[in-house]
Amino acid sequence: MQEIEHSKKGYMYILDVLIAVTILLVGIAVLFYQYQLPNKTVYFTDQLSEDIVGVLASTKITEYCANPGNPDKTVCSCPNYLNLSQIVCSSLLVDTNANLLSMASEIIETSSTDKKIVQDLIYDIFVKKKVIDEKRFGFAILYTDSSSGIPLELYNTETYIP
Amino acid sequence: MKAKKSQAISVDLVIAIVIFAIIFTVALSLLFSFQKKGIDNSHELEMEYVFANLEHNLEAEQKISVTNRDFIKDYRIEKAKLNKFFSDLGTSSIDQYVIGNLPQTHGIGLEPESYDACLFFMGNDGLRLTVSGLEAAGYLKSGTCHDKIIVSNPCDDYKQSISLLKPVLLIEGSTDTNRILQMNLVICKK
Repeated sequence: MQEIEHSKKGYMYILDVLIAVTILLVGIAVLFYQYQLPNKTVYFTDQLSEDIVGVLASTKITEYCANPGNPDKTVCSCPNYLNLSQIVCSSLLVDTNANLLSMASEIIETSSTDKKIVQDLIYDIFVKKKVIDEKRFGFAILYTDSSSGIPLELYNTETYIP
Repeated sequence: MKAKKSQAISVDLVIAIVIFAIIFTVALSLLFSFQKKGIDNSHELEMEYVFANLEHNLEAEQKISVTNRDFIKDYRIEKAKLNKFFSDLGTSSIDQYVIGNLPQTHGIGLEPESYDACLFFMGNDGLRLTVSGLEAAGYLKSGTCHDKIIVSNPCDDYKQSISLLKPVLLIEGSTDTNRILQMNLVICKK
């Protein structure tokens, strides 16, 4: 009689364990499907800084501005980039056939105008015109002074105030 | 006697809770580590060459037969050639086109069996540029990139989405319309 009672108890425990294991497995399965990491987009931006400098070096002033070097604003204009007009439509710039990177270098080297205008231009081209999302990808452009060799910060999304 | 029994039950309960917590933690950490592994296993090695490979292959194709689809060269995009590329190949697989049809080239650096890719441009207004009636070029397992991208992330049905972007100069021919914008390649890992 006692043996039957014991084996009944044993069955009850096995059943209990089976139910517990099933509940545990169901719980883990639910967790697995419920909390699967979403399909995250990986942004590959290793070349971004090189590309920013590259596109500036590949873009000529004449591709943006009509009649560069002419101080007459009715003749000279850069319709898409007003900050560029301020630099280009003046007698300050010597080489009006240069690319945008060379133009920035000339301004810095000759100190012909305030360096802030170069910062404004970079901000205008890349940030304001939504080419680079500064909230997602901050960037800085450094310029090495040819005489002193000291790197000069041309633009930095972290510190720039529009 | 009763107190002894209840003490034994309490100890039993505490041990059960501890064992349960340990198993639960191990199961969860295993779960998340497996998911993380899936993300880290991307083939980033080739990624840095994707844009350059596309450019070189388009250039090579132009040398073999004059198709005028070599739209990119040194950060400069020619709108007329871009239109031609999109109208000819906008609904085909970018990778298969480059690998399959060109001798002496090696595609955009991705195996077509493992990846699909969509090419598109973001304008200065933050919206995708429409080229030859398409917002994106390329083909995915569920249809064209254009059809997919206008409603959702093109890589929704894939293991992983890899986004590459590059600032480029779009040359339309006049100072009014030439502008720097964002060229994008979204690579979906199968």
